[in-house]
Amino acid sequence: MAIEFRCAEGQYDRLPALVADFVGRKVDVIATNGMAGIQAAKSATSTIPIVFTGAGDPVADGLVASFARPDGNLTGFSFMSTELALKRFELLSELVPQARVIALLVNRSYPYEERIMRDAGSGAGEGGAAPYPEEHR
Amino acid sequence: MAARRRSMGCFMASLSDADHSRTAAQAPRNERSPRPAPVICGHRPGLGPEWLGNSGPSAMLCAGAARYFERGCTLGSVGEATNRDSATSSGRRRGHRMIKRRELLLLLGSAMTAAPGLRAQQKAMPVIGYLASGSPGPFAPFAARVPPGSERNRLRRGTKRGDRIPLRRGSV
Repeated sequence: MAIEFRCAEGQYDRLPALVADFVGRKVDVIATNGMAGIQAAKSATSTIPIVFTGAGDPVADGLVASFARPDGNLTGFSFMSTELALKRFELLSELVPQARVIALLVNRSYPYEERIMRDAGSGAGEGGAAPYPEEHR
Repeated sequence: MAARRRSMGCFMASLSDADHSRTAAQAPRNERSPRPAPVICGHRPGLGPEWLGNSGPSAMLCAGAARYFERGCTLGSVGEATNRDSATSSGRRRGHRMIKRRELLLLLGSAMTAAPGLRAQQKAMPVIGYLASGSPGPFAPFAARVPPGSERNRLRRGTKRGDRIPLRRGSV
């Protein structure tokens, strides 16, 4: 067994080309993590099996039909990390109740950045704190 | 003469009537003490098929090799056998040698036919493409085990068993 590594290094616009390289090489399986990589892999091939991790909510995002029977050529598991952004902010507000401004490090080019910001903002509003987004590219 | 004919076995039985009138001293030197064909490779007749097994990359190779081994691996003694059979008719001797050559050619041809199949089997080594959105930092210790450049390509083809990346528990 051999493993070929390709890293976009945060530049998501490179992902389609990297996946196309895998498809051209006729790899047996594509393993990836993160919604950007999964979407790029799904767009590139419908025959090569794709195994993913950490896809937010893959059912709500339309990546798979269901958790029990994902169908298609995608399968994997999710940490529900995006959905838990609100919960993390709530825990942080409980740990530091006097905090009024909480910095939130986000990647503007990440496809789910808007959702993270929205969920975090709602959680911060309940605790009386305001998120201060710090952009990172 | 009859006793000698029995002792010589089927070899003397193939001689003509004129040859039977010769004495032992008149017989060519290489006919006086017929020896069994020397075995040059250490394989005993009948060991070939068992050694090769019933399945393999090429059925032709097995068939050709089996026939070769069943005859006692006498490839290297063709010349000696020809001298010993010098009293036989030229047609039989030529045919005997031709069979040996056919077996040799079949064996070599089978080996050449089997070689691409063996290479194709090695090429079937599974390849996993790992696509990371971020930097290679978290995967660097694992990715560093794959040598770059031509070494990496050789490794991907898996020319030898030792070329494969050993995946141990906890290495990822």
